[in-house]
Amino acid sequence: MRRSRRVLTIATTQGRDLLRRHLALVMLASLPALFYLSVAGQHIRRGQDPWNLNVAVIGVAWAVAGGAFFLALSSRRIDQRLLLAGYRPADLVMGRLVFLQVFAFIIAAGYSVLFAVRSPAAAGPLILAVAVTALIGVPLGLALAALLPRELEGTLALIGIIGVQTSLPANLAAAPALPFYGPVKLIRTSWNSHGAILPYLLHGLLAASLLLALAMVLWSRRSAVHTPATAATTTAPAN
Amino acid sequence: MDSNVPGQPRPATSPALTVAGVSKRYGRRTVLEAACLRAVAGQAVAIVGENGAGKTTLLRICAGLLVPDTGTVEVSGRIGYCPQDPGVLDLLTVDEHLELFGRAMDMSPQEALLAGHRILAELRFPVGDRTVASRLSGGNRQKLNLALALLGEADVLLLDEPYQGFDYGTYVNFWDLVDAWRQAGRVVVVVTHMLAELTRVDHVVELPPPRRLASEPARLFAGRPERRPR
Repeated sequence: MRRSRRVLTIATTQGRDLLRRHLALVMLASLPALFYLSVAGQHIRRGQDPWNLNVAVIGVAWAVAGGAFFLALSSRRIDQRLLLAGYRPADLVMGRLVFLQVFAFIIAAGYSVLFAVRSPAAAGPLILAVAVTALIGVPLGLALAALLPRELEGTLALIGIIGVQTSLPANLAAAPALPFYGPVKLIRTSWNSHGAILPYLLHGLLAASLLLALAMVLWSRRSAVHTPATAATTTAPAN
Repeated sequence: MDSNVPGQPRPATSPALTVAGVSKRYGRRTVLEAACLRAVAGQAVAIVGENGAGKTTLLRICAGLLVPDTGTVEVSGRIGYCPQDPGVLDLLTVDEHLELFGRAMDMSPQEALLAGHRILAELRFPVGDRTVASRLSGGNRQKLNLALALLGEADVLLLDEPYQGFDYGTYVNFWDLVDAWRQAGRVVVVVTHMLAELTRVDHVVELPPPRRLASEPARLFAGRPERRPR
């Protein structure tokens, strides 16, 4: 109970922080639409690469991962202080994850409706692809914020990962190493009406789980408070 | 020896802080060399020294935010830490900060607000202000910063130049509060450049400038004139 209250407080704090950034909120919510509309007029047929849908999912990935990355970075400056006050590293990560995942699913739900209306034949796997993208994007942003806590480096890494995801053909051997491989393949499968969905769904869930584990470990290490209880009995060797 | 775990019962022993032989290097640069400090319940200690002498580093090591290369830190009691730069979130109001930090100590929002407003009133902060932190004046941000360190009645207060931006009245009031915290049996450690106030602490730790570290270790002397050896 005590733990869940702490997680809820962190989630609420993260929510207040984002909801007061009005312009950022509008931009995050509209980013996938801009991606989608930029290629929506292109005529595609079954058997061709569903480029517009790929782009739309990548737009959701940008919005979710980018939002998680920058929000986590902005909160990071008081993490050690919160830990010193009594929070545990897992409270901070889980609290942020809870809020950001809810936010990501709200964006995903909105765009799922849009995509499903425009491409009803592929609606099921398409909705699944967008949902899995939201599931992967949040821990990706959190992990990057812990791994590369400086804005420039982290942003460049985010551009690199999602940019390569956009440009790398999904049939190459290296493609499964990228986090959004599952959703991209789900879209292709749904569009061409053949192939199994389950392997790509599992790939997406595995990617989300690994990224979440990575984020938890990195945040715990990065924000660690070495309580004097430990320091008192430890004499580290001089460098 | 007690760990810093909020929500746990107060330590059976009195609050105390002991730092022995602490050294810290950043790469090739030595910022602290064999620093020592000891304070027991009811004592205030000032850490002074030139810019770059390692005052903030020493305080962060005491708080557990940095690991020393050598030496030991022993703390009895819960730590309240006030960083030099206000560790607050720009888009949260004062009350939301109190609720956030209060929850870390398992205080309900009502308890956190009650305790926080009392502390803020002592610091002459306009209680009930709904302004977000980014729109507070520098002095009021610093008051919030200090109030968050005081929330939960920590036993060992580690304060890094906590009065920056305070108006004169609040600054004077701050040192009166230091006296009150001492009398309440708390340990108070203040990083300060205000040498005129060193008479109001029990001990002063003077850290040598970095260029003299090898030949001159940290000095410890009494703060209050009446306690200085003749």
